[in-house]
Amino acid sequence: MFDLDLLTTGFGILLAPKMLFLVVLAVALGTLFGALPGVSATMAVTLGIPFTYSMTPVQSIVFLVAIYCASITGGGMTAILFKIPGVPSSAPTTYDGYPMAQRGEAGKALGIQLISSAIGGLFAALAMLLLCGPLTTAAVSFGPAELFAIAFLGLSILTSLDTDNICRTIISGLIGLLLACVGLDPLLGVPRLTFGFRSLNSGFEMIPIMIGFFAVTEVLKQTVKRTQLSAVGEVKQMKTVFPSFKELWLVRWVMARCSILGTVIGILPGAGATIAAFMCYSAEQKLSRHPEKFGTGCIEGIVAPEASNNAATGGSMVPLLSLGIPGGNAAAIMMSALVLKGVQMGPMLLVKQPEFLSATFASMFFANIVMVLAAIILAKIFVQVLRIPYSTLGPMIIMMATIGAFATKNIGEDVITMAVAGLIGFVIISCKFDISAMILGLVLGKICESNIRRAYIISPGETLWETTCNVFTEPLKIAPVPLTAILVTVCFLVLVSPGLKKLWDKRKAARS
Amino acid sequence: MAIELIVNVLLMVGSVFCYWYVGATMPTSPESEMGAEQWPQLLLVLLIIAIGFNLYNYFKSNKKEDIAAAFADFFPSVFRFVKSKLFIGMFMLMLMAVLYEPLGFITTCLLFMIGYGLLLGARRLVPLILSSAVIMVILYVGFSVFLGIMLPRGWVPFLRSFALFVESLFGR
Repeated sequence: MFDLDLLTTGFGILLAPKMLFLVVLAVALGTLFGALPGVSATMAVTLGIPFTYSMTPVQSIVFLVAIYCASITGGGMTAILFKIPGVPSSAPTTYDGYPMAQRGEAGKALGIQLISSAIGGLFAALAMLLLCGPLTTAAVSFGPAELFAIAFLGLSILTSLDTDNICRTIISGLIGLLLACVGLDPLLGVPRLTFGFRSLNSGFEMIPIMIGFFAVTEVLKQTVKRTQLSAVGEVKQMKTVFPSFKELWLVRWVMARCSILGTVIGILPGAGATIAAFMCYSAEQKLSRHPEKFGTGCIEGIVAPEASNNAATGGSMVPLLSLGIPGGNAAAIMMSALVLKGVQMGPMLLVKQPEFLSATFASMFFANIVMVLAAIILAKIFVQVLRIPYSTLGPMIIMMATIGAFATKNIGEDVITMAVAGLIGFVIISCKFDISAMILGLVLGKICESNIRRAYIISPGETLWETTCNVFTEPLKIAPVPLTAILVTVCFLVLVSPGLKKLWDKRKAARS
Repeated sequence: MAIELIVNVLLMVGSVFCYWYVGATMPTSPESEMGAEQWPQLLLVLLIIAIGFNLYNYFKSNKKEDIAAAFADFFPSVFRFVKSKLFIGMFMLMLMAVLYEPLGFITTCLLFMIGYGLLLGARRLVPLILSSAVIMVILYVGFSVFLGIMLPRGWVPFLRSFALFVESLFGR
């Protein structure tokens, strides 16, 4: 799958004047959205959706990927200058970025952040290009049972992420899966759980719901408790200063380790940039010869989270493009945007339309370079933009969200769906349920159901129990192992491991 | 605390009802296949168990007196909520969503930007109106003119005429 023609196609798509302009716009928008506290990377991608309605599917993914990459980098700027992470994955950047800025080295901290982000992003883009091909080749030979198990693995990993809230996360995921059942049955075509409402026959419209959950809910949260910005030093005088080659050479291994680890974490369904950033920061602190310097404004403390969170963006695209399974919220939104355009997600996507992979790679490659240039040129403007009061910014976000929801089908009902989803999202968060789990459930629900039911049809048995045994124990054609059973066992272990760990810790505490 | 319990109980009742409803409304499936009702029923059984466990955790981690106090304060807190900024914000949001198509983008955007801006603490009215108008124009030109996205013109005759007039200015 990997050949020079693919790259030529990718850069060919990207270098068309309109596309080039759109990517530059996406980088500028993404950096700006990411830098704004209260606008997460997911929300940035959500707000980018209205821009994609007039684009082709390939152009859409190029645009959204550029926004995603740039927003992760933009978040680091606010983390350094204001000690408020623009996106959650920039939280560890505040530990060393802000102390460095307090020492009067804000420009240098920004320079290190930009270079680390770009290197992490470029590495992940290359890894994505190399990994997607073999993974797709393997996935093409997967049967429905294996595809169900992979989709389910995404959900089970998610439940182990919020270990303090396992039960509520499971409930959220299950509600998402159940909501995906509403509408015409995928195999029989009969209305299911529609309660007689014809408008529910086509199921819930994903885009308005996602926009409601990620954009409107956030503005409502900010209405109750706003994030206040207070800059360190005189930001008007701030100028990006790039680190010397010697300084970069000293952190080369930190950058390499975090880029690799970030990409791997990004590939795992459910795990994303935030986990990558925290894990890499913690790992580098443990590996460092001077761990006491972490938290005081050391370069490694900025390099580790920034290289890894950008690397995770490329990683999260691997399961999306090769398996049709979103690695996280942002990927789920990209998937919904593509599905809306009639793109059939799944392993066959790259077989039939390999330009999706090459264009995504070209977009990530280009975005990570443009991002550095844009940040240098626009840094001062961004700092001024951050001074826009939330009383202007909040309603503007809602109006952009409204445009996005309405443009889905050009009907007012979608705007109402968005608003209701926003309100429900707020209640869900207030009751400590997990919106991300619900969205992943909603996105993966149809994939899970149609695959498991097709698996039951093609693995005949006399009774339901016998068929179930056949589905889970039949070896895969390409390998003499029952992959479904192995994956489902892994799912089960992942699901119960946080509970077992808690029990273990309790016993340990009781003994000591 | 009270709302958490209410939401959980409602989820439980809803799940039980849906379990019965989906079983009653779907065609009978063959014995060896997973039918249209079995996948949602499987999810609902898991959901009922998880909600039951969550309710158990709720009663385990909260004292009876605290729960009783939360319920005693429930109606006063509802009144407090109705008077809060959040409720007004939610109401404005729903109103905007309902009026978006009938009033059209231009009017709804302008009114919502001003109204929500005031709610979020903007004090000077003139700059707020000006900034709202500028943002409305940016969004209109950006999405409708450059990206060709359809924005509602409105059903009210004079608002629709005005929207058509604006469109004619951009040669659309």
